[in-house]
Amino acid sequence: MKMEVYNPTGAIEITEVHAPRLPNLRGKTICELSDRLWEDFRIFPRLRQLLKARFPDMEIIPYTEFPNIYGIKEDVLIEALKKRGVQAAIVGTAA
Amino acid sequence: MVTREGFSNVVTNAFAGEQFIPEASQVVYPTEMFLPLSDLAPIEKNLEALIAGLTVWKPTVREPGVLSPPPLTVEGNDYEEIFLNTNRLFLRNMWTEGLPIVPPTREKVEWILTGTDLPADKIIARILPRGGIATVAIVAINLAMAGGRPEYLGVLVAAVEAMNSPKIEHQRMNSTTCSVYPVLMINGPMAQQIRLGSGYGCLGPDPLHPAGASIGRALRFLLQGAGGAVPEIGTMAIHGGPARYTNIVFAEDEGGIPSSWKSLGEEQGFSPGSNLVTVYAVSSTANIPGGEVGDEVSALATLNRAAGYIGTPNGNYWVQPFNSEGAAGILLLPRGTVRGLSNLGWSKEKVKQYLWENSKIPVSKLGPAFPAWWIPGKRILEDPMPVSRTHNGIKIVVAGGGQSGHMMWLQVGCCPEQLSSVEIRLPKNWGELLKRAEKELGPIPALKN
Repeated sequence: MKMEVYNPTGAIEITEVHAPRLPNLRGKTICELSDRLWEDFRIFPRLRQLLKARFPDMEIIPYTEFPNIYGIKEDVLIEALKKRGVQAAIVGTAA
Repeated sequence: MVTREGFSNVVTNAFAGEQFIPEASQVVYPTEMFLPLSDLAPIEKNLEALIAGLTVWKPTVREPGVLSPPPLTVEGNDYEEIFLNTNRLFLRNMWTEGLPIVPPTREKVEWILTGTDLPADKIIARILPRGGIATVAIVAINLAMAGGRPEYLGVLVAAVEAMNSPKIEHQRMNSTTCSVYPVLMINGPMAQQIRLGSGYGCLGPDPLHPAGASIGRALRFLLQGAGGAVPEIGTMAIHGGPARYTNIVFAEDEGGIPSSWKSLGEEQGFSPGSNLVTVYAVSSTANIPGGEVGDEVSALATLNRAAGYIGTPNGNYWVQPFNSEGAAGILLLPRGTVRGLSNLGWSKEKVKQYLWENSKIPVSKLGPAFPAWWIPGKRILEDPMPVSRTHNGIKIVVAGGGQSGHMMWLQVGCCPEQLSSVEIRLPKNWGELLKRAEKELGPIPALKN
């Protein structure tokens, strides 16, 4: 026997597409964005150190130079990123 | 994204809610790495993945569009096995809470849809954080799963509409760490017609008034399935709670409201006799013993007991209830209590004013860690602190039957903390639906005084 039942979750509508990735990280400006939680003060510096070792000409703007992203208004954050010429962001940490 | 084990689905849910494909460029690290004095070696180990996330990662869907889940086929040797397999399938997909559901077949859902004149494809809300689109049909599917009936559908549709109001900000209600859940309060004659509880045991369970459990359970399914509110995936509610299984759905005991008092519906701006649902988000219920009112002394004693329960240092009081439209909670008073108060000359306004004044909390009792940051814009700290900006932030609803032994305080959750009301549309075949319900369930129980 077979029986057809409906999926109860509803459709989702996609109106936004993800930004294309960078072709590479050489000479690029990226930034860190933090919710000021979960050991960001240790994790981001270590990440920064490792990335700089691989890509010495990449600029990494530390999370401390941006507002806490928890609850921040989207347009405020976008403006801050544009102002610094950010091409990609690493968002953390954990939650 | 630099994230931890167990959180990646939260991230993809959030992307879906923002109307991206529910995928994200994430590097998932062990949770232990995010704890004090942790070993940071996983960062180096996963460096290539992080670089890939910035350079080569691609989502599986790269164009805008609508993703509609197709119906499912369940197999079994007989109906009993299909029933069990459907329940297992839905549980594995995290669309139920684990208790048995009624399989939402086409026949069952079409039967539920006889409870509305709205088109099945009408969009009622996009339920966040996941952003599943709740059409009338999806609402009916979830009501079918919850053991609902056609005559309940209007309440559920109106509740989803009310929940979708900025007054509720349901994405916060659904995803917050606070174990908050919606309360649906129904006014109007249809409440009794569909067997919603308003008297003894109105918050349930009550086999004579089964509507509230089905409607509330269906709303939970919608929050969970369409909205993605699965613990640690879409809802971060730290403790959850039994009320989340069915939420709270009941009717105001309009027959018990003193003639000089307004119903909740009237306070919400609707004319007497309107059928409407009012949605509010709470985080707990507290039974308050002793609601007797025989004379002015016992009236004051009763109100002071209620004020004592209300006047606790709940940080959520000082978020949105401090806006003029916000509410600190709902006080349920049974008939015996309100009639006593009314007979002694207490208007509803006077009761609210008394409770508000006498539930103020001295700042000294809030301790040195009093979270001033709770107050938007760091509004003035009054001493003693009221629980809401005005006395209207304490709502009173008559419910609980004819006695006066207990009151109930439904305490604010952590969302915008406003009440949102929507009128319930009855279909043209309302009379027929009620006749069928009477045939199947027996006569509508009479209201007891």
